[in-house]
Amino acid sequence: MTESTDDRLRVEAAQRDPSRFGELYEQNFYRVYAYVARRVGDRHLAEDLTADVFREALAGIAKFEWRGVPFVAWLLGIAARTVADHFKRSGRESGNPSDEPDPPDPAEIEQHAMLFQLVERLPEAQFRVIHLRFVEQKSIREIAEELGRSEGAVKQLQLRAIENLRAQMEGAHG
Amino acid sequence: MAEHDLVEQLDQAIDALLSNAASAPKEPGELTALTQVAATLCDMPSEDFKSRLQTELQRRAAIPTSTIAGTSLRAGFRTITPFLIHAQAPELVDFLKITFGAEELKRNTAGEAQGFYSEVRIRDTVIMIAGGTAARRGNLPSALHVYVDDCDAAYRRALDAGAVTLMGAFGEPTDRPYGERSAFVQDAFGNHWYIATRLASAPLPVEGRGSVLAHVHPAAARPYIDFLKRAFGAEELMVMENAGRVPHAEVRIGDAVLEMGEPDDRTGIPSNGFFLFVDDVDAAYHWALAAGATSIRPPNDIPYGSRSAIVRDPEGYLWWPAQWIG
Repeated sequence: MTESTDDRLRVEAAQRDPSRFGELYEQNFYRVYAYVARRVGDRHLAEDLTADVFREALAGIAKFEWRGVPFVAWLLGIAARTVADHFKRSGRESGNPSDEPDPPDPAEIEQHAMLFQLVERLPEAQFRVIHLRFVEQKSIREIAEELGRSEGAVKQLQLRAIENLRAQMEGAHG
Repeated sequence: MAEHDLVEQLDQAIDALLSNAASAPKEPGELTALTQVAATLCDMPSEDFKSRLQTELQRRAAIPTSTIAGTSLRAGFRTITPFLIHAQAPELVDFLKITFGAEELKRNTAGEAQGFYSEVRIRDTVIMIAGGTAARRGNLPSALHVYVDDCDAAYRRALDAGAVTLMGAFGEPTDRPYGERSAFVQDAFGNHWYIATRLASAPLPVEGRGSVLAHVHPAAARPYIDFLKRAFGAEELMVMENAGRVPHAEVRIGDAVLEMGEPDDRTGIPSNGFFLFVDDVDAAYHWALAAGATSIRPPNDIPYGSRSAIVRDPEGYLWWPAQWIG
């Protein structure tokens, strides 16, 4: 089955029974998040706007019409509008229209999405270090204390994790 | 590069990235490639964000019946509670008292529904009535099927109180083939009342058929029933078809039955408004829109103790998904 037939079946299932939306979510979560994060550059805001995008998508799934464009294009369309609305709103509130960054390159979004997804599959110790370091922005010393490891071991795990991710990214791109 | 150096240099590069002091590495090589991966990781979502959002979406996607109020309904209120709006609401309440022996449970003349708000009960079913400034944008009459003990007597009281018979002689009290004696009138406020008394031959009423049932006249009943299923989790009880027309159909939503029939002519047919009591207004609102309703007002908290939204369904009827709060 090609990805697009797959996509189509998932969309049709969700249109018949919205509780099946979860499959579309699973498939596209990181793409939408990566797109929004790339545009707004702030984790909390990116999460808020990503949630808005999926809420709107779920509410509107019945109205989605298949026109041969991948489902993710529809989602990213909602995401683009959500981000634009945010910039308009924040521009109005500050009285200072902020410059909306240019839309990112789709290939770059795809890469970021893949990377975020690969993080989920890292071995537990590496996953923990990556999260504490990049999301919680803790220092090596803090992470070492929290995990009960030496600072050297934490730095090693950090390197292993990132090497691991890079290798898988390269593997994925052939 | 020795591995020890790489460990340290990458960590320094990450420190710089996290403090926003990084300049993009230029020279190709192992460290540059790894730093690029690290730069993207700075945008990674929080650990539980994906699963939290998924849980929220699952809750929203739960079949819409789950949004229908379970135990939170107030006595006499049904999942579908008719909501009539008229500039002369106090006179309308009087009409209901005279004609149907309605009992006024509550009346507020200030603060609620911006002017006038009343709850009246006709036997086992409550109807909500608003007036005053709520009628600023026009009246909202309904078509309602009311069961009384004596159709003929109620019909005469209705006429005495200013109602007129609908459909000429056909609307006068008559034994109908569907097991009731009924008369059809329009009151002075534009509401249609199908006044009925069950005949001995009538089948036992199904659950949810209270003493007052909302009656709508969709142009196309089948698609409308599909909408009600998708939007509000309606259950199809019966659809009568006759030569491609649906003269009568019934669906149940929560603990209420909604009747409908495709009219020959929609002229003068009331627009109907309903409160739809749910456990989650936001979810009900989303589902209504997802099924094709139009938003009139998104959910918000109303000063008189409820949270509600307003949507217009594809046939033009207005729904107030609502829940009591506090």
